[in-house]
Amino acid sequence: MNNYIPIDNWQLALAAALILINIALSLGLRLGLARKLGIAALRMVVQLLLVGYVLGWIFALDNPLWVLLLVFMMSAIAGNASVNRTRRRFPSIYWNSFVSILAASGFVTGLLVEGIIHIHPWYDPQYVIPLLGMVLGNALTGTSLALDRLMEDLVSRRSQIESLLALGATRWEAANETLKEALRTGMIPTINSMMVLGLVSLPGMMTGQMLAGVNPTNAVRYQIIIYFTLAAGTALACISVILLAFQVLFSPEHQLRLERLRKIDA
Amino acid sequence: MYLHQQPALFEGSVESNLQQVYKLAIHRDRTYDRAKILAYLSSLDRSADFLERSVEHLSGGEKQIVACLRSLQLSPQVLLLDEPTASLDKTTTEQLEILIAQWQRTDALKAYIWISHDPEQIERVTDCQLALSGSPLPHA
Repeated sequence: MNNYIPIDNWQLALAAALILINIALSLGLRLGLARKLGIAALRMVVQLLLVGYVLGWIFALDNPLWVLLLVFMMSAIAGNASVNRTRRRFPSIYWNSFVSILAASGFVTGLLVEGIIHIHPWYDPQYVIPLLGMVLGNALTGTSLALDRLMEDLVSRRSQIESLLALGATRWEAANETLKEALRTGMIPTINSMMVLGLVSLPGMMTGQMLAGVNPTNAVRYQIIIYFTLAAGTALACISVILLAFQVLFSPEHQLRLERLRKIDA
Repeated sequence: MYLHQQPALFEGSVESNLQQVYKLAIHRDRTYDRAKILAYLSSLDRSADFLERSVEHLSGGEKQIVACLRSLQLSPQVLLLDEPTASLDKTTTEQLEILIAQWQRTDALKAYIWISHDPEQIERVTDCQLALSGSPLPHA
């Protein structure tokens, strides 16, 4: 069953030579990408090797506190990355995004590992960390799209929303369409990728399990439960981040507070 | 109720714009009154066809009329009018002034604040004026 081949340093170096193809192309065609490619390749190698060591260390420690700390750190990074892809900011946007992503991803991952997979001990990092990582990655994409869409729509539909407010609409009635549109936008990538899963793309986790010697039919089962978890986590994170943004951008007195939005030069 | 200088209308026909506000919780106890709207329209020399038109094809002045009717039909207590006739021709301006005056006279407690750059219009439509000059001190 276990026909897994570990990769040694010499094999890594051989694979690294493949980047020379890109660099040669860039130099030959004067794309001006050689420097960036070199930096990106170096960053990728260093980051992944470091993560490998950190994860190996945390797996070996087998301590719930370290696992939880890592969960918080991963969520913080995801929350930050989610905001960084948007074009506007409001004062508590980073905090809102972090809380939404952590709560939604933590909740669905918890349900998955405790309620469905039944892992022991409850914090077993071999399951918690990679599963949470996937949920976070998806929630990150969803929330950043939803936030960006929400803020852009509020700005572009400002006069409509203000007209509704002026006609006596509550902030909820005035923003309803915009909020729904943001949620829809946040969910689109997850739905699209579920549509073509297995036909166009073979998901990373499934291929990873197959490389590690797992029977494809078992790997597929894991992938299926993961996708349900991803979809639920992304929906919850998007709803949460949208509602928190709504609280900031509309006052309880039913005013649109667009002066709290600041545009970022990309 | 506040009437914006550049009114925002929702996609669709003029009539759907007028009906849409009744979906808001605050106006839910009222119903759309087509006869009242037609009366308003006839005093503005416009026929019932106007209701069928798509708001995309309205001129700036016609949009102002729709926005004004949208507010007036709800018989608000106080109306804030920010240059409601800025894009209207002279006749329609005077018709709209009369319409608003009629609404105001229905009830002694109804009032409006009218913002305008036209001194003659201000004279026509107001009892009490407040001039805001460029300097930070407004005088009454």
